[in-house]
Amino acid sequence: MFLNLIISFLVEIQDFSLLAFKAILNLFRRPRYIRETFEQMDLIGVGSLTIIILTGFFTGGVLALQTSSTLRSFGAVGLTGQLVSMSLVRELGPVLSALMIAGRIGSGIASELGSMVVTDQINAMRALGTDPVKKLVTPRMMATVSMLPLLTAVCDFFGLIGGWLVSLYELKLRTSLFWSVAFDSLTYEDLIGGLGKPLVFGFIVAMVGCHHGLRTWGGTQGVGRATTKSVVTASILVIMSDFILNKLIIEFMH
Amino acid sequence: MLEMLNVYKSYAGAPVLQDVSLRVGPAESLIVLGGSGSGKSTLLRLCIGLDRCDSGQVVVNDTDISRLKEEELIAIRDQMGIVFQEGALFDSLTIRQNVGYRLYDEGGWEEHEIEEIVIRLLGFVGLAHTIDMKPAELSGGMRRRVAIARALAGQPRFMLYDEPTAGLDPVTARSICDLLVKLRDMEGMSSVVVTHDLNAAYFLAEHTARVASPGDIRVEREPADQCFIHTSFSVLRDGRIMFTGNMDELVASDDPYIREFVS
Repeated sequence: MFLNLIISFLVEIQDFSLLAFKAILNLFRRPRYIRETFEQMDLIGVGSLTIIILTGFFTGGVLALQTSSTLRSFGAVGLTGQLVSMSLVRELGPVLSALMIAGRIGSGIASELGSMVVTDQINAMRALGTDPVKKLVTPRMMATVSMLPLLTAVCDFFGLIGGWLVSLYELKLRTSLFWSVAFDSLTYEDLIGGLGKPLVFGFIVAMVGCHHGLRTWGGTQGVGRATTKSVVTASILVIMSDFILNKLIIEFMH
Repeated sequence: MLEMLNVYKSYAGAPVLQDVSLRVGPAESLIVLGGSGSGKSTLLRLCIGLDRCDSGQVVVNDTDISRLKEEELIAIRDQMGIVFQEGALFDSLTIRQNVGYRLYDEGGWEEHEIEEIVIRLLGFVGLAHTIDMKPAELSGGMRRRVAIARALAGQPRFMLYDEPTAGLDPVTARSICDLLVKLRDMEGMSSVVVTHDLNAAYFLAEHTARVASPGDIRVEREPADQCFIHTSFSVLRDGRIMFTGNMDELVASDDPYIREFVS
C-alpha cells in the first residue's frame, strides 16, 4: 500500500516533468500557436485584472490599518508607507497574485482540458494530426508566465493606493510622506525578486493545471477532482517555492 | 490495407484485447460487434495509434504503426479518419472551424479554399446550414454527421467509426448509415465500424450506393446474389475475436453467445 503510494507519486512527478519539458521544447518547434497564446494572454491577463486590483487594494489597506497601531507605539507611524511597500513588493503581491491566478486560471485550465479529455476531444485532436501539448499546453504556459509578473505589478500598485488611502484618511499621514517613504525603502533587489518570482509561480500554476487536466479520468466527476487537485497543488507549490526562492534571493543578492 | 496481427492490450494488468487479428481491404467494411466493455473502442484507438498495443502488430499500408513515435504517427493519421461516439467536436469552435480544423492547422490554405471544402463536406452530410453554429446547438445525430465531415477533410483512405448510431432515433441512424455506405461505395473508403446496433450493421451489409443520375446518389438494398461482398463481420467477446465471416455466416452461427446477440 505504502509502496504503491510512493510509486504513483514518482510516476506523477515523472509525467509532470516530461510535460513541462515538452512544453518548453515546443517553444523552439513549429508550428507555433501565436494566436492561441495571445488569446490566453487576454483571458489570463485582462480577464484577471478585476480580482487582482481588488486583492491588491484591500491587502494594502489592511496592511496599513493593522500595522499602524504597532508603529504608533514606537512613534514610527510615518514609516507605514515603507512597511506597506516592502511587504507588498517582496511578498504579498507576488504570492497573493499567484494564489488568485491559481484559483481562477489554474482551475480553469484543469477543467477545460479535463472536459476535453473525457469527451475525447484530445484524442480527436491527436487523430487530426495536432500535438495537444503544442496546441494547448505551451500557449497556456507562455501566457501565464508572461502575464503574472504584470498582474503582480498591478497588484503592488493598487496595494500601495489602498495603503495610501488608509494612511491619508485614517492615520492622517501626509501624502508626500507616505509615497516618499514607500519608494525610498524599495531596492532594485526587491523589484527584481518581486517581479522575478511571478515568472516561476506562473509556470507552476499553468503546468499544474495542464498536468491535472490532461490526466483526468472518470467523466464529469473526474473533471471536478482534477480542478480541485490543480488549485490545491498549485497553491502549495507556490508557497513552497516562495520560501526556496526567497532563500536563494537572500543568498545571492544580499 | 489495415491489418491487426495477434494484438494484445491490457490496462492496469487487466486484459482488454487478447490475440486479436483482423484485416480490412480497400473499399471494404469490417463491422465489429460486441457488448459493452468487450474492447471495441480500444480496438479502434489501436488502429489509429491513439493507444499502443502490448504485443502484436497494427499494420496500415505495410507500415507497422504499433511502435511508431507520436510525430511519426502524424503521417499515418493523415490517411485515416475517426468518428468518436459522441462526435468529439471542439466545443469552443464553430462548425466551420471544426470541419476545417485540419486545414487551418496544417496551414498553406487560402481562406476561400478552406471555405469551399467545408461547404462541400457539410453539404455532403446535409448540414450546410449549420456552418456558423457551435456544436452545443446541434443534436446528437447532427454532431456525428459533422464529425464525419471533419474526418473527411483530410481525404482519408480509412474511416473508423465508434458506435456511429448509438442512442439515435431510427431515422437519424438511417441517415448516418446512408453516409457510411456512400463513402464506402462512392469514395472507395475502407472502414471499421464498431457497434452493438444490429440494425445498423445489417443495413451496411445489405445496402449499396449507386449513381442514379448525375448528382443523385441512391442507397438501395442489394440484390441477394451481390450481397456481403464488401462487408465482413467480427464478433468481440471479452477482448477476443470469437467470429469472423459474412452476414449469412453470422446469422447461421450456432454459437450460443452469437445466437443470443443476433436474436
